[in-house]
Amino acid sequence: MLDRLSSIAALLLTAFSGLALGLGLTGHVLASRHAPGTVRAGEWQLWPRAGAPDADPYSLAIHARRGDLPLAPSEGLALFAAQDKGGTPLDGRCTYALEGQMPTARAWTLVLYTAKGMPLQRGGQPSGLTSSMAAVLPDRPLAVLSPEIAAGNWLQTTRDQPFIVVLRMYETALTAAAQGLDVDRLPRIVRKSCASHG
Amino acid sequence: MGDARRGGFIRHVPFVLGALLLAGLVHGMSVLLLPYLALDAAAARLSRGAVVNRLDIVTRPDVGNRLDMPQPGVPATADMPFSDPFMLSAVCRFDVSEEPLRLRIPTGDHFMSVVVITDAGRVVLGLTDKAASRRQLDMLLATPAQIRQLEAQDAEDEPVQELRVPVPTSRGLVLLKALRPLASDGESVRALLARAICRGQAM
Repeated sequence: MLDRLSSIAALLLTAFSGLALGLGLTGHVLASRHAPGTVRAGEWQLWPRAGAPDADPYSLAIHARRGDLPLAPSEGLALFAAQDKGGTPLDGRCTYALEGQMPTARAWTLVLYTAKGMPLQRGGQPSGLTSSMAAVLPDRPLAVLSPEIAAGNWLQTTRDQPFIVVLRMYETALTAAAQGLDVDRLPRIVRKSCASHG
Repeated sequence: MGDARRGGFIRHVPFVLGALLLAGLVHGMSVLLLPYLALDAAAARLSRGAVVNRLDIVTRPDVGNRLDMPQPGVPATADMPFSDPFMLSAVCRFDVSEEPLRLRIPTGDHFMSVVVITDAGRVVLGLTDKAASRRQLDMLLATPAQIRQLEAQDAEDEPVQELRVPVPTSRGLVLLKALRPLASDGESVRALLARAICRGQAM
């Protein structure tokens, strides 16, 4: 009788630990920068095949969990960054410069989001930039991300909030090379200064 | 004593292996099923409130446009994470089990795209306005069987003007996106989307 009870207990324990382990693994993998289907290039992350008919299950699951729709490869590429060039998480108290060259694309948009994916606001407008809006300033960064007003293509951040940068390039030649994207072909997010705490 | 301990350990091996096997199975199943089960997934969100074979311009109250205030029965992307605020979009829910779907989309000067997705969020087709001819994208979404039937009816000496797209599932969503590169382009881009047609077409 006692033997039978302990067998049932062992079976239940096996089932429970298998279930917990499996779900835990799914949660961990989908949140990881190293999930299958994820391409990393410096601070940027992208899912180049997520919007293709033959998308891999991990890229599909990552987008389903996050709640956004991937771009189809023919539309272009979406690059996500939650950290700067040095690998430090983006901080609303700091000023960053987007430096380098913008890859060739028919159009691009640069948008700042909260961690949950809502666009940061600046006077009722999204804190973002399109290729048509951006002023081309020689020897100046492509954009300045800062809580304080800045000269040039300024994107306002919120002082007490971490944020995520999304660069979308529509109809870009980069799509073909997306699987092994070289970070040298992308703009970099460089931290310039940080306001002290408080 | 040592033997007894070893015996106890060996007795647990099948349970540990069983747990690991089950964990692998649960992991694989949960990854595969997530797109179907996630209520917050984009396809599920856009489907809510969408009427079959009707094109609705998706509202974006977060962009501060008076015209984009939420309306009852019209899907909103305001709460859809990581959507591009510089894109105006329109959504059309389709069901081609009875008849194919006609899509006629006027294109303009700025980037536009048409994306067909299944209910599980898999992109079946993505096209941009580059594929337009005479400033219009003319498409017919149909089941493979319907396409075969149409091809049998085609006149031999007349080239087919429309793009026929076979869809793997009879139900899904068409998402139309139009870039609004400057705030002042909002009205014209919106007018372009409003002229797009999405309706069932009798065979």
